[in-house]
Amino acid sequence: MNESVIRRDQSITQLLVKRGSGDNAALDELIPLVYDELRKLAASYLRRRSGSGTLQATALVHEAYVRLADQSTISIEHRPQFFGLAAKIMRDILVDHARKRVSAKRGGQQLRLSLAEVDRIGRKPEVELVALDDALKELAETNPKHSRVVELRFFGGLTIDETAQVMGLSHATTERYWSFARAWLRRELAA
Amino acid sequence: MKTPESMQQLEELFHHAVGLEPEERADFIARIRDSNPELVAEFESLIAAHERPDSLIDAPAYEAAAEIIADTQPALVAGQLVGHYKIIRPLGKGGMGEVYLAGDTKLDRKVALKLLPAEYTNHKDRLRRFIREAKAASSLNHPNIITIHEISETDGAHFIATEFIDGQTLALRMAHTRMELPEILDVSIQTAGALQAAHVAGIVHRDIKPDNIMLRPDGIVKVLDFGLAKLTEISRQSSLTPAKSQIDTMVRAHTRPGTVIGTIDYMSPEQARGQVLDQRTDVFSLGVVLYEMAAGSIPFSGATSADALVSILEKEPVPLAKYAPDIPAEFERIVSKALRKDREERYQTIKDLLIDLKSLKEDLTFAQKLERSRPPQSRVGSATNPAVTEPLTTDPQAAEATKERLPKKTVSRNRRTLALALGVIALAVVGIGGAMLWRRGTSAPLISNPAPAVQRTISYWITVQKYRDGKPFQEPFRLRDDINFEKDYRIRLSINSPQSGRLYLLNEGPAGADQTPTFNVMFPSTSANNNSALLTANQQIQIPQQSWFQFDEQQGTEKVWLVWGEKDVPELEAVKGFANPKDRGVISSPGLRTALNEFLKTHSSTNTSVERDADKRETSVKANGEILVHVIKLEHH
Repeated sequence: MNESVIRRDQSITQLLVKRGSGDNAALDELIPLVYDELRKLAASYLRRRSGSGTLQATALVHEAYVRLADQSTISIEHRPQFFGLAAKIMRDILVDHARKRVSAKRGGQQLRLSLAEVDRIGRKPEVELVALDDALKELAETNPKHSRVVELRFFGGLTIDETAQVMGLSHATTERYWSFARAWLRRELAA
Repeated sequence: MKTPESMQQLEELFHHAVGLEPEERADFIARIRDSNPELVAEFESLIAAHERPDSLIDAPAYEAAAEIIADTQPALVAGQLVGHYKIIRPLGKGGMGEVYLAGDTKLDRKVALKLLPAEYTNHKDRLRRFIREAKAASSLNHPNIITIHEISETDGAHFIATEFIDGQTLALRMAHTRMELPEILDVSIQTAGALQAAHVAGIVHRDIKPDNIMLRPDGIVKVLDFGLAKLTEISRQSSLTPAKSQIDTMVRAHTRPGTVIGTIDYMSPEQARGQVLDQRTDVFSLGVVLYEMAAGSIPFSGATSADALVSILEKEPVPLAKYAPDIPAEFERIVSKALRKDREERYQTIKDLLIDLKSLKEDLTFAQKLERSRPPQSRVGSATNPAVTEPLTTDPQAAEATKERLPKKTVSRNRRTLALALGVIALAVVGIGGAMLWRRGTSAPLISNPAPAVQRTISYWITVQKYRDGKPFQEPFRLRDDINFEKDYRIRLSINSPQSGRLYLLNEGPAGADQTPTFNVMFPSTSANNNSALLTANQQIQIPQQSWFQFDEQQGTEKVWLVWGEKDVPELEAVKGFANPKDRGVISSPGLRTALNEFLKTHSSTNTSVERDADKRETSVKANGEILVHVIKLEHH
């Protein structure tokens, strides 16, 4: 790890500590920083990856989580914030990526469509991801907590217990929120 | 109107219902239908969704993310610097790594830049051996060996910068049109020349295949990737018996996701066995290429890698004459000698093969000169008229040999030649295949016993299912006319033909960065017809078999390409493997996409007649030749 990366990590840590002590402005500074790190990581992986990149890309995303999670080992009291942030940032990055791909495909003079076989092939992941993000935003208007549970579970990869801890909810309530929100989103995505 | 209160009510009902046994649940839903009719539809759909874990949300986000990121092409973008090379555009993805056109910022010239995947460069010994061989081959300064400018490393990524060849690979060339003998000989003589120079210097290529042979527009051939096989070789055994475990290893290595060792189609038997290789492996691989150029298909193949390996090790290829009846017997002899499974029986050096190829070419040239010295009206299809694509046997000896093999056909061809010479020669003969000439011949009065022209015919109809709120709405119906499809219509295609043949369906997508459309394989697939394109006569097939196609959100004209071949269509056989759940039918290789695009463009221009039967609500398509290509256009808003 070179010097600039270490410095950046330290500043991420400091921002997280500030965020932990209730400084909301720190979040706005933090997201672009981590975002930037992840993008660099992604670029270097993609540069080195070979033919079928799925495995490497999975490793990349795992590593992105690990990098974020590593920060949380600094202080146990900041752990929920780290998880919460990881989920937010992953959502931000992935959806942003998906939106760009969807709009890139819409570009060009002729609009051509893709036929997708409903059951076997399913929809393209980027289209689904954008649809999910839209549906989550809609859900957040009436049910912000449900929306947040999904963000933590789906984008953050957290278990029910971890989600409950971050949200300050009971296990049972978290489970109920997740079950309802999941059904609601499945239906929205299928429509 | 959705409010926090209505959502809360819905959630309470939801949790109550999912806690009930199925029969109790039905009663509960019935009660809500009475008490709260405006909520029941939404409530029911939620319960249904609860039971159906098939959504994006049911796997962690990183799985979708991985697909999205992995699918992001290319790794390098225009303007990006790799060492002192500035990326201009991607050229394609070879068997090993991505290749880009780049500008050398120091020397102001264009280069081809190939990135080597890390998994192959981690092994330092192999890397050193590869670099040594690649440089040694390049330093031979042979006109048919690509010049390497630099092999270097930046940011931990190894790359090779070579001279940029503004041409096409032999693989792409073969995908366009059938090659004629003079061109086949030209390409193979130059390739053999490159190999001979390398062999003399002690360098064995080990990976001769059409992807590694570049054709320049001026006719110069360049052989690529000398030494590269050094990086990808698996294990070597000195044993002379084909160990089953060895084949298993090979198969695993070739089918393991993420490995890009490339094709086994051009491997020699000794290579397939993992034995120590010498120059004779290149003789065999060039033999495979020779066969493919003449036949239009490879001599050894199989449905799986294991089958293909068995074919290489044990099976004799279909005689070339079956695919290419006009090919001289001498050519067939040369190919079969290059393809001997026992390398002791093969051409012992590439030089011997080269000598035979050259003398065949001289014989042909001599025969052509003889032809030219005859009076003009008896002269047909000489090499000086490239527009005539009918393969005429110009080698007298070979013609004799062909006559012996196929007496009737040769006689009728001679008659046709006469007819052409007398009357039809005045017709403009422009870019048409052998079947076309044949038909022109049959229309001439002198032909008394014409063979029927080859024609393909196929019918299809479209079934539409309307959807509303994610549910089927009304009964499915068979489409009468062209309609503008609504967003939530779902469709299915039914196809049949009185003939047997090979059916392929592709959906054309938007053009990528290289201006070539993307394609999605719809049929065959791992879930449809067992991944086989073969249909028997009058077999009716429904695509998709169980499900429906749905349109995505974008409006416009949806193009579905239908290809109906008498035999396997190599361009489509090459891509059908993408129709699996992981690739979702998307053809990811730029090279294959380009070849496919060229193929479709070339073949859709041949004479096709389309008839729509309004009563039966089906469309019939007929086309001359062995391959029918038809595009179904679906307007969608």
